[in-house]
This record gives sequence, C-alpha cells and structure tokens, in this order.
Amino acid sequence: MVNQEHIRNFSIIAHIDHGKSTLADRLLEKTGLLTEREMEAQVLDNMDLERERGITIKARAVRLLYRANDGEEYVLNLIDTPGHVDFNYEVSRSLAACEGALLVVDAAQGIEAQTLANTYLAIDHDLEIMPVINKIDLPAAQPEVVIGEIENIIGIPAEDAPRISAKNGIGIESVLEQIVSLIPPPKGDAKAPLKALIFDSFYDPYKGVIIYFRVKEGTLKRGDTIRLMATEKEFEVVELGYLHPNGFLKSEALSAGEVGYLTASIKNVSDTRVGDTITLANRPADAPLSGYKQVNPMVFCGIYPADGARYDDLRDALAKLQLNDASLSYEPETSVALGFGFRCGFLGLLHMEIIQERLEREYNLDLVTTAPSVVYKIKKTNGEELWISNPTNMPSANEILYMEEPMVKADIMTPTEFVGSVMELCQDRRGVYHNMTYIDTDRAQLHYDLPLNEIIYDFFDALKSRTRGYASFDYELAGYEKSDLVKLDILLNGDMVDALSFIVHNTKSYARGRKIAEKLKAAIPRQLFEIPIQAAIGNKIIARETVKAMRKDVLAKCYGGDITRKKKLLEKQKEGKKRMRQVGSVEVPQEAFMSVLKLDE
Amino acid sequence: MNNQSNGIYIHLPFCIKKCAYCDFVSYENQVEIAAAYVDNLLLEMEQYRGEQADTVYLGGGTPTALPPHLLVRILDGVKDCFNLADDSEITVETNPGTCQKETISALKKAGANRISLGAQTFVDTELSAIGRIHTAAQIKEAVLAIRAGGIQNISLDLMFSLPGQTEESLLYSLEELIALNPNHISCYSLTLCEGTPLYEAVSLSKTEVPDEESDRAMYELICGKLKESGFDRYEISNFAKKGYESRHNTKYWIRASYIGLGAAAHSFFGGRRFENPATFSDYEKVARGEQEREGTSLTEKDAMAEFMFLGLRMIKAGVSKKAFFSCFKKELDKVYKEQIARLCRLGLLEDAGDILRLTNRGVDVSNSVFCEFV
Repeated sequence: MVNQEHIRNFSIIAHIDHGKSTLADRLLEKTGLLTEREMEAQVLDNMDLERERGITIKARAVRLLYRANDGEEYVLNLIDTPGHVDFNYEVSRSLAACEGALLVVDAAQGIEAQTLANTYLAIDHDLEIMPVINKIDLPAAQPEVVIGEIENIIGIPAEDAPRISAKNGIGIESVLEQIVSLIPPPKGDAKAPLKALIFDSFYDPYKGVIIYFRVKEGTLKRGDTIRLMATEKEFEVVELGYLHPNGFLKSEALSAGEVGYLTASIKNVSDTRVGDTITLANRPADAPLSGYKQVNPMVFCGIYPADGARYDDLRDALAKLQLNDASLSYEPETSVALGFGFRCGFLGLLHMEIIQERLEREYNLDLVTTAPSVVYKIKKTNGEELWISNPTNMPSANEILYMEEPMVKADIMTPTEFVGSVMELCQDRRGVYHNMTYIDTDRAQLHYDLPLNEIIYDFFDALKSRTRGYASFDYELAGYEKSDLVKLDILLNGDMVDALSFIVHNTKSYARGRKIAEKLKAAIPRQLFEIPIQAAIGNKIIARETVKAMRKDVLAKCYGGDITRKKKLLEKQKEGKKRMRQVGSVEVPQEAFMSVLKLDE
Repeated sequence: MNNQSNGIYIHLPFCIKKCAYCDFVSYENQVEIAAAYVDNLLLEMEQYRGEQADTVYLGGGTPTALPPHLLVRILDGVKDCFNLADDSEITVETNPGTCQKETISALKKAGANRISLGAQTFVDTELSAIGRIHTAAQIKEAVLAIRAGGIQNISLDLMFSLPGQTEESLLYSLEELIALNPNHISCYSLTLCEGTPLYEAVSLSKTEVPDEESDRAMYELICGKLKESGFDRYEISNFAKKGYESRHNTKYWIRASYIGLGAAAHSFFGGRRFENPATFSDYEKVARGEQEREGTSLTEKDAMAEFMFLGLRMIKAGVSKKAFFSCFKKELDKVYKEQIARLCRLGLLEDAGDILRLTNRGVDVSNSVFCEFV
C-alpha cells in the first residue's frame, strides 16, 4: 500500500493539438518507464482513428514513479480525459477521480472554448488547476499574453506556470516538480466501507470487461465480491492492479487514494457504467458517490448496409462496437427505400462519425446513412406523450398538440473581428443571444441558447469557415423547449422516400426543402422518364425540381461484328444501375442519400 | 463443316492518317508491310477452306489505302478458298482520296459489287474538325470515280453531332448526300471514345459538340429527310433504298455466322464468338495456327440476350417471338416477361403480336432498353 502523502492524481486539460498527448509522452519518458523506441506512437492514444483525428476518445490511466527534488519517490497517476464535447460526462468522471489538473495552453493560440469549459468543470470538482504554457519555442509564442489571459479569464495565478515545449522536451522537469508541490495528495479512509469511482471501462476479449477506477474510501482486494451500486450487479474480482505504461501490473489490493483496474469476468460494458460506485457486497457503503448519471444518446441516424446482403455483418459489427461503448445504442429498423438497417443513437456528432468510420474501416462495410436527428418530444391531442428519434414516426400534424426540441447552452470563443459573422450564423441557426464577454482586446466569448437540431448538421464546419478556423465551440444540454416544428417529406416521382424525411423548424422548412430538392436533382442521374422531386409538408408541396428524362444514350457504332464489346458495354451500364437503390420506379444512387447531409456545400 | 452460309469479314487495319474520333484497330504508315499481311490473310483463310459464304466485306482502316493488286489477291484468295454463292454481296470500304477509277475497276474485275464510302459530312470545316483528310469536293469526285469504275451499288456514311455542326449544316450535308443518289446510307452519331484526340479535346473544352437535344433533333431530321427521299430505316443506323439493305451487316443482327479474318477481326462461328489479336506479330501467329484465339462459348442466357439486343436494332423487323421459340424452345414472352411489360409501359417497346420492336423513343435510349436483356 502506497502512503497517500506520496500519491498525486491528475488529468491534463488541453484543446485539441495544444499538446496534451505529447506532454503525456514526455512525462512517461521522464519518469523512466518508456524508452525512446517505445515512444513511437503517443501511447495514451490507442486507436488509429483517434490518432488520425488527434483526439482521445477513451480515458486511460497510467501510474508513473517519480523521485522528486525532495528525495522522496511519488506515485503519479495520470488520468487521461477525452477531449470532445460529446464525451463531456466521461470527462467529468475522469476529473472526479483526480485532485488536480494540468491546464495546458498553447503559447501561440491562447485559451479555447473547450479548454475553458473543461477547466470550469475541473474547478467545479474542486481540483487544483496547474497552468502549463506549452509550445514556447514557436516563433508566434506569447507566453506572457497567455498567462495574462489565464489570470483574467479563469482568475487563478499563472505567473509561476512552467513554460515548456513538450515537443522538444523543454521544461518537463518543472512540470513534474509542480505536480508534486502544487497538487494535493488524496484523502480517504482506507478502513472505511469501499467506495470506488468507475471512470472508464472497456471490453477485452480475453479478460472480459476491464474497469478503471479510483478508490475514494476503503480498500479493495483480489477475490472480493464487489457490488456496482447503480446497476446492482455483483461480481468477484479476478484480477486487480494498475497500469504501467507498457501494460497491466497485478496487485493484491488497492486502497483509498489509489487508481487502478480490475477484471471480474464481466461480459458487458453496460453493467459497468461510467460514474457508478463500486462497493463490497458484504460491507456496502451507505450511499454511492455523487454525480452518477446515465448518459443518453442525443443524436440518432439510420445506418444501412449499402449491400442489403450484409445486414448480418452490420448487426455483428454494431454488437462488437457496443461491447466497448455503452453509449452507443442501436435497434433494427426498416426503411422502404433502404431496406433493413438500424437506428443508432450517439452522444453527439463526433461520436456518430467515429462509429460510422469504424464500421467502414474496421468492418469493411459500405454504409448508407440517413440525416441525423435529435430526440423530439411530442404531446399529442389525445394527451399521449411521445419521444421520437426517427422522423418517419412523427404523427400527422392534426394529432399533435405541441412539440418540444432539445436546446443547448453554447459558448463560442472567437477573434473579435469575426464576432459579427458568428452572431449572424447563430441567428441563422435560431440562436438566442445571452451575452458577450471580452477575453482580451482581440478575443471574445459569445453565449447563446441554440436548438440542438441546428448544430448537429454542419454548425461546427460553418463556424470554422466563417472564422478561418479560429473559433472554438462548446455546448451543454439545456433541456427541452416548445417549438414550431414540421416534418418535411421528399417525394420522388410521387413516391415518398422515408429515408429522406426530416424534422425542421417551420421558418426554415421552405429553404431547406428547396436546397434538398436541388441537391437531389444534382445527385440523381437522368432516367428513362421524367422524375419530379418534391419537398412536402403534409399534403402541401413546398419545393419542386425535375430530373429530365434521358434524351438519348450513346449509339455506339457496332462495327465489324464486335458483339462481345457491345455486350460488355451493356453489362457495364447495367452494373451501374445495380449499385443504385430502387425507390418506387426511380433508381437512386447511394450518394444521393448522403448528399442531403451536406447542405452548405 | 458449317452448313450455314457464312459472312466473311476481312480487316485491313491500314490508314493514311487516323481520324480524330477513330478507336478501331488501324495503323498509320504501315502500308509497306501490307504484302506480308495479305500473305497472312491467305494463310488464315486456309483454316476455313470449303466453308460456304454469301457475303464478303473488306473493312478497315481504309482497304483502298493498299495497292489494288493486293486487294485483288485477297478477293481471289476468298473465291478460291470458300464456297462462294454466285449472288454474293462483296463490299469494299473506301475513303475519298483513295478510290481512283482504276482501283474500282480492278476490284470489280475481282468480284466486288458494292462500295461503302466514308463521306461523313459535306462541310469542309466539319471534316477537318474530326480529322478527315479529304474535302467535300473529293467525296463527289470519289462517287463519280466509283461509278465510272463500274460499281453502281454505293453506300455512303454520314456522321452527325459533329463539332460545329448545326441542323442547318446537317440539312445541307443531307441534301448533298441525297443528290449523289446512293443506294444505302449509314448514319452515326459521333461517339467520343476515350483515348482518341477528339475525346481529349472535348474533355479539355477545346472543342464543343452539340448537346443531347440537338443530337436528337439531328437524328429526327435525318430520319425525316431520308424517308421522304425513299430510304427505309431498316436498322437503328442504317437506311436503304428497297432491296439494298446490307446483307453482310444484317448477319450481325440476326446472329448468322461470320468469319473474321485479319488483325482484330471478330468471328461468330460454330456457336462461339472469338477475336484475332490486334497486333501484327500476334496475328501472324494466329494465322499460322501457332496461337489460339481468345473467345467464349455462349450460354443460352448469353445467346438469348444477344437475340434481343441485336434483333431489336432492326427497327422494322424487330424480334420475332416465333423465331425466338424456334431458336431456344422457350417463349420470349415468358423469358422476358417483366422486362417487356416495363419497357412497353415506358413506351420504349411496341408489342405487335409476333413482333417486338423499338418505338421511336426506344431508339433514342436503345442502350437502356438493351440493358434490360443482358
């Protein structure tokens, strides 16, 4: 058992590409646990996809040993946090496992909205915030300006912040020293009834679910029967230990203040909810740790195999992904246009993109996805209350008393020169302005209430393009509000295409309908007959485009009796038709379903 | 031995200069090796000695790019090798500038009785835009020379949808063409084939071709004008005065057998489709019997598909359900039930009792119709 005085539990808060992973690598390297050769990759980020996107999706925890200048050896537990707003709850649980957080800020870029949001989250959890100024070697670095920013906005002293370059290994020692001197050691009674916080879990095909936890009170030993207080499941601990940068190190017991992992032949991550409290079955704690909540998917879309024959493969792939991702939900659904597929729920847009990419990349599936939707609340005239995530299930207008849509509180940080443009964007997205604060003379922070359905399509892209990539954005859910919503249907040659229906605010329905009709016109090739494309609300047509009938197809000279070539050309033409979806009498290319997702292009 | 009367196609892949749109196998500046090539043709023929035939077609390339004595050698070889019917149709392709009166009379003497001349258009700027090396005046000279040389059965090729072409200029070409009083006319919409200079020019927007609407307007103009001038449209691209339909080309549409001789020539013989290699060296090996030809036997499904997409090209005759049944012992209406219903519903096919044929609209989108059967 490690003396609590010699333990430091901390996270790193940083904006994407401000150097979190690089700093983590340096800390590992400095504490002597990793050779340069082992450092090939940034070890905290395991998945290829994450590395490519420069983000960390799953929290990990590593134990580092550091001999400080005071001559004592310290156990430093670095708990990695996801860096995206979709995983806000996971971040909050990781922070709840720490006593301190390093706030890493790029000396050239300054604080970003997301960093700020996570810093406030850390302050809410009473964490000691330790600013670190990174990338001081960049020509554009302005450490003093950034330090001023931190002091002004967050209101914590930053004059003594280590000025480092994680990339070049400058100043890493001072970071380690400050971790020891600034971040308080954990508290907690090792003899009290066990209370351990789950901050992550994932499925391992050999060991079953591996739980990452922080012991807050009491002691956990191998062989103990644990009870997970939210799911009320009980398991016997098979293996217990902590994470060495290169793998798992077994241990007999972990006590209050320590961070580690356990396995207990658990088959499903849905039993091991992030934020849940582990206690002992034979000596349970009175109450669980505060802060647990079940995370619910916020964004839904239909996912269909491009090749209907691969439905089973898609189902198996989703099941495998869900083993590791309790926040992914899916259930079978049928579309007239797309056949058999699944309605999948995600924490947010990024989460959705990650799952789609993993299905395509790791499981080699070609997918057709429908436009993402949020969950709407519907009060029917007969008093019934409905929650719908698939626009197809929306009742007809005369059955609806009113509808509500989810709202978010959004913080946007932008250079002041783009404030006008950002406000215009937010207004266009039905945003309600709250206030604006100036971070310094060059940067401002805007606060808006925005409907979630306005930001799930392309808000982030639009924001980036309006601010030349300088703005950053963060949001949190802020409940439901009544809203004047309508269902927009798309008809091809008079047949409704269920996969293209979506729910939109009444004021925007005409513009959106026109845009989609235009997009489809461009995406659907000419066919043997004229195809009207109509956007309709109920029985009312609000936009119409026409794909003209094919005028001719090539009458290639059939010369010298080369029938084989002629036949090959016909077969090729036929093959092209096969790749399309038959919707009523119309052949629709897969791309057409996706083209409606990109309305701003 | 095949009891059917075959068609014989002989490919002469020689040109003075290749046209900008051409993607057939033909080589420029190779005429000096033509004698050796003809030797190989005569060798290859031996593989079919004794077969019956009633049509012969010398195509290219430009056959008349060769010296007349070589063409005569080929025709003499054919007569010697094959069991040729007395009333055989023997066609030689030619282009303006390569068919002097003397050449034609030599060909006539050797048995040729039909000439197919590549006119394409009577507007000089359009001719040069597609890389033809002759003028409109030379087309007229060529027709006079062919007649003077003793062959009166003449087919002229016409192209439309050419760069710079308008309905007015096409009408002018049509009038000039009709004034020459040919017996047969082939009309092709310009096809841009990848790899040809014209394809490149159009993809780089250096040249523009008429759009689909103009293309169809031109086709309608041609059909109307030729009809009123007494030409019958018996196939999508072919028009003839009564009794002057090309017997050789018709063999392709009705799936009669034909023997292809020469580099890149295609055959349908003994129920198999096969082709000769395109290069001279590989062709020589085939001619000598040292190398196999590439080819496939047709499944019943293939054969039925061919029956449909080739037969439907014959606009008037169409495909006969009786003929289909006698060929496959299956009912056409049953085999292609859904396809026929759909295509009739779309107004692309006409079901006239025993005969199934393309409508005018079906002609415009014939490939999409044919697709349904492959």
